[in-house]
Amino acid sequence: MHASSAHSAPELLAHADDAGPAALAPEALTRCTTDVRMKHAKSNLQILVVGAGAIGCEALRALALCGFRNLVVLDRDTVAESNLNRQTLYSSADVGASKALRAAQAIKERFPGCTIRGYWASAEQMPVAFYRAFDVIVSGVDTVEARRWLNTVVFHVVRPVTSPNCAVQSKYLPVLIDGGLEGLAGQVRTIRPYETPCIECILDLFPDEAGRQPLCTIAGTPLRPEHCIHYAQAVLWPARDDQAVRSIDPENPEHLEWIYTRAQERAAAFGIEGVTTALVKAVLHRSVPALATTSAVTGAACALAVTRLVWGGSHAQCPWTSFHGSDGLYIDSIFIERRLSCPVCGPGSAVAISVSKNMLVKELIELLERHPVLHCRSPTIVWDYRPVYMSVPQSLKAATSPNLERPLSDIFISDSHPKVPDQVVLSVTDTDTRTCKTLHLFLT
Amino acid sequence: MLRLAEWKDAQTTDDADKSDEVRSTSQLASTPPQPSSQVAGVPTPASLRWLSQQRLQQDLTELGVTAPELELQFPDLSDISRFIVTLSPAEGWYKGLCFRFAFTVLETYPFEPPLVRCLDAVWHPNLDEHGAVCLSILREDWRPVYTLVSLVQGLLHLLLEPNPNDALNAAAAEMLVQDPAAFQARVHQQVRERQYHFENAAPP
Repeated sequence: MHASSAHSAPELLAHADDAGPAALAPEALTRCTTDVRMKHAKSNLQILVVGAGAIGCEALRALALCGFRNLVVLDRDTVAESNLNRQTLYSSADVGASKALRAAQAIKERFPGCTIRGYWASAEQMPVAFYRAFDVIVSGVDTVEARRWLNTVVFHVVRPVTSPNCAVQSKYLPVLIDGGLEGLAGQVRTIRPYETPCIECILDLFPDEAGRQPLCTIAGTPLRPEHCIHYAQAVLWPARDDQAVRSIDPENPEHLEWIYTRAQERAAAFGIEGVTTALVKAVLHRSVPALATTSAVTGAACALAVTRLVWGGSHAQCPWTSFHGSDGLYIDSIFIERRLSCPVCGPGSAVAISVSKNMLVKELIELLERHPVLHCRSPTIVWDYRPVYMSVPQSLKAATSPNLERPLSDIFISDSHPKVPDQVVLSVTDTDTRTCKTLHLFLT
Repeated sequence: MLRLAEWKDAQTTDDADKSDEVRSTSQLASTPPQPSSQVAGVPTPASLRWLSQQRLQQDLTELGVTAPELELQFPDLSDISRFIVTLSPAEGWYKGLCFRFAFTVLETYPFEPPLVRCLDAVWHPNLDEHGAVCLSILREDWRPVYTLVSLVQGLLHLLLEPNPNDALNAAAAEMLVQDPAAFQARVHQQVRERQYHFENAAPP
């Protein structure tokens, strides 16, 4: 595991020495002044900013202004002309260049003391271990999928804070700070692993993705060009004869062309104007307009959240800050609870056990039922969308009951997995409580 | 939870080396680093596909426990993401008839609703002849907090109380309002026609 430099704290010790002899004891160090803590954090905290878009630019600038010296920025996109109104680190000369590299360059020019590195890559391209090196990850990504992915990664590289000298007031690192915005509303969530709710805990609180329209309006009385595009997307596309391609890829020019042609035909039939390839792209991408004011507030709130992690402050227990600008101005931080059955951070949601390859499935189920952590009552087991054993519903019970008498070495073989693996990852559901757990099974 | 962290540490020493390599190469060349060596397609706990699978498994369990009499068919027993639900309303216009709905649960579930099509042609204001279903919680009103149970209840409700004010099949809606007797006759006629094709109908 990477020992973060934040834990070794030579500078903190030097300052603590100035405070008197008592400062040598680790207990005393935890009580050292927030000024010392802040100074230490500024030069040692490793901060990753994922996404150098509207939030990313503002967060980077605010973090650099706060004095944080170790920044890394990651973005796979290039600067587009339409970004310039709100992504303040870029100028018109940067159009077409990598956002991450240009943002790093801009910060370096304005803050010579700041060490910043840019990576031109998507978050998913980086190996999971890359994320180990950071104490704080600020995310300014634009989709819920990317947030969920990042959240899962954080819980895979999570490490406990063992040193009392750590500048960040969290029991586990890295801390994920998730900024998001839409129109005139923005929000920032501080995810201190196992202390505050993760993205998956509160997935049901996300606003609905824009773009799903009532099917009846689309099918019956289209009024806007968007309705025609949705019609082509939701009604005509699934009804095509060619079943080889199941979902629409907004980046595929053939798909775009197909949707555009069909939407145009429909628009012509209803006398609607305004179906353009740009609009087709926007609808398929579900873009929403972005405002410079919202991104400035949200980016600054992300930097504030980082400062607050160091400072402690009065809102440490209120990890969710939201901002609404459409009716006057409203900003508040609230407390939210973790979800105990959360598949990512819920207590006991992942367990590793080692068993013999020759063990029968029914023996594994007995083991799960009396396992001290799992305590699964009539568990159901799924491996890669394949039901190993499910006691409900009836049809799956009938189909998977023969598996009970088969050894595990027989179960974990298929066309795509011709050899018995050394380890498999199973998901196990307790039929009574309907909580789901991740089981790492080592086969010996 | 630390168990997992420790386990991952033991497993990923190779990855850690790779990350250092990636970091130094991208510093030199400023090109996107190579994707990690994870095998594509196999769900690992780091993927959304994994979470989707877990949620689907939870939902199927809930469905099996709360509605044990519900008929569920899995055409492909190595994939629980595609299945057929058979509903038969006990009253209303469609009393005594069976309707098969094909569910395809995407890897973005529960953030995206499942795709649902009716496999049986039916004369219904909110279902069209191609099997498209106009149910608000399948589209604009879908929330990740809903489960498969909510959807099955929604579909059953649609069969019990067709809504002519929000029509997908406008002709059926008009007939239901103007001439309910003709509507009922048309429903039964369609069912007789369907019986003829039923034997040959293949699952999707």
